[in-house]
Amino acid sequence: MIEVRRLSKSYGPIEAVREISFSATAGDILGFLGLNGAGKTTTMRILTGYMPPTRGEAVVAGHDVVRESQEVRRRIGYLPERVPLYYDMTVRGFLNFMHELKQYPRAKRKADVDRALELCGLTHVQGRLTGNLSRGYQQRTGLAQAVLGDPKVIVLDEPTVGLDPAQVVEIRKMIRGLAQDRTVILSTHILPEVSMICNKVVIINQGRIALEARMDELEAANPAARLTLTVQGPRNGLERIINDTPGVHGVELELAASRENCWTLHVDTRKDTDARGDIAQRLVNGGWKLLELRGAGAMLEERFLAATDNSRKEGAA
Amino acid sequence: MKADFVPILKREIYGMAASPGFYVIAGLFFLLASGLFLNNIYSFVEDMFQQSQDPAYFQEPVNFTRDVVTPTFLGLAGLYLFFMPILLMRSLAEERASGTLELLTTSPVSDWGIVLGKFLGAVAANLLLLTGAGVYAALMLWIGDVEWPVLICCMAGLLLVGMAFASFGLFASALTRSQTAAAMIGFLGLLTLMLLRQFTPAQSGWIGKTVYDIAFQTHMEPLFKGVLRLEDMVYLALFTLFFLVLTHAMLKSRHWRA
Repeated sequence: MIEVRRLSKSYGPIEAVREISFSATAGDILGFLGLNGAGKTTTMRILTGYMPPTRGEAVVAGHDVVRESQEVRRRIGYLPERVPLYYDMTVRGFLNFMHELKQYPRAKRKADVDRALELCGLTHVQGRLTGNLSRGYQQRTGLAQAVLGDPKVIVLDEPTVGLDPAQVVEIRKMIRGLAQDRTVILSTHILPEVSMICNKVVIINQGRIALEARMDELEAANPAARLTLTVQGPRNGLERIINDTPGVHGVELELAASRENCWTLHVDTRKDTDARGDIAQRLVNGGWKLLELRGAGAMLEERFLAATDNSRKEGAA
Repeated sequence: MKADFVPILKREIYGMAASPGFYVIAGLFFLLASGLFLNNIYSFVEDMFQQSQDPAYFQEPVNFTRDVVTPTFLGLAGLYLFFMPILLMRSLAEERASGTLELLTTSPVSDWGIVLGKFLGAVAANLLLLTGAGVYAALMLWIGDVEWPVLICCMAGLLLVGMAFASFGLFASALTRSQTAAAMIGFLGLLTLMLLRQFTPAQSGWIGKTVYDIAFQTHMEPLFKGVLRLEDMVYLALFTLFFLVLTHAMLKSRHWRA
């Protein structure tokens, strides 16, 4: 569905994207990660036909983004970071306009718009002006225009930014539902979001691909199942009680920044052992409060931090 | 070429119809235009009275077409100078500021489709203003002795001048995200092009001659006097096309600008 080969983009002397290559097939939800200015938006803009690359090629839904740009644009749904809406149009009016703009068959307009409205839970607000909707409903309207006409590829740039927690959960559920026979590219800064939704991840750093992997491969390649815990209570005995838990073979402890007397622990466990229950029980019995216990997300976080290490150091310098 | 500009044109017309600002601008235009028209009628009646009292007062006898029709339409063109950039300031500047331009440029519509849709939307607004000007034309035919070919030239001239100004206004709107800046650039740019002739002291030397030839006023005035010249038609057509091409180039500049 998406094949990117040695793609580069320069703005004058600045090389925003440097010879990146990655691919995604139907059914993939690809998490596109990177620090600000890493080249995510540029890449997405090339894929959506907004601008051509300087070098290299990208094929989306079987069409070259430069030579067959119109064909690509017809087959791709795109939600930019800032939801683009005409505030003087109703939700249905806006989707009708987008349907016509995308040059989909007129005969299918009503059915397509009805389907997008239903999919994004907008049917009951279809007659309201988009400018009068809440942030969450505006985001859904943006998402509805991206899924309109059943495009084969959907590109979503930070789709959950600015939403309340309930809306975030709903939008994530919606995105998961989208990728059945489609390819979804999800650009986000929220690593747990990638762990929760995506089956593939691409990390871009300083315009280059720092990591491209399937989530299950990442899991398998991890030398140990790593857990991250946040615990409240005294430090004395904390490391020992976890180290003594069967299946645990390493603990790193640091002071959690957010609260007083709170500790963040990175615990390495054997892959064949699920030590989470034992650890939780031992901590509670020992009088500590277990505030958080995370699994796979922590591993992705580590890979992300390792991949972007040089950029963060340069930024801090 | 497939008419891919149609959805954009429809959206432009809808946007105007749904915008209270458009009605305010159109209302203000007709208020000023009516004042201009009445003032010209009043001056004409005064001159007529003066001539009846003292036939030798004027070198040439008063003439309704020359004294009312031409100055009224020249005045309307002068109002266009101010109102067209205001009508067009939203066009691309607002799309850029709100992010909807990204929606348009990632749709299957070509860049020319976007430019043409926007431009034809402005032409539609121009036609609406022209319909209002038609009311003055009808009143002129009713109350005065009008040379109708001149009147037709004036109406056609207003349409062509409106299209040229719309193309410049659209270009100004493509330069910036700020609507206010777009209106200012549009107004000052058109004013400069209009008054270009005044900046050179005489129509002598190649510089003076060139400035005279490219000044908007040079090619607009004959039209409103009922003089139909091919060079003026070509000038107005090229002026319109030139700024549409520049608008297209501005839109295309996203390919190399960050």
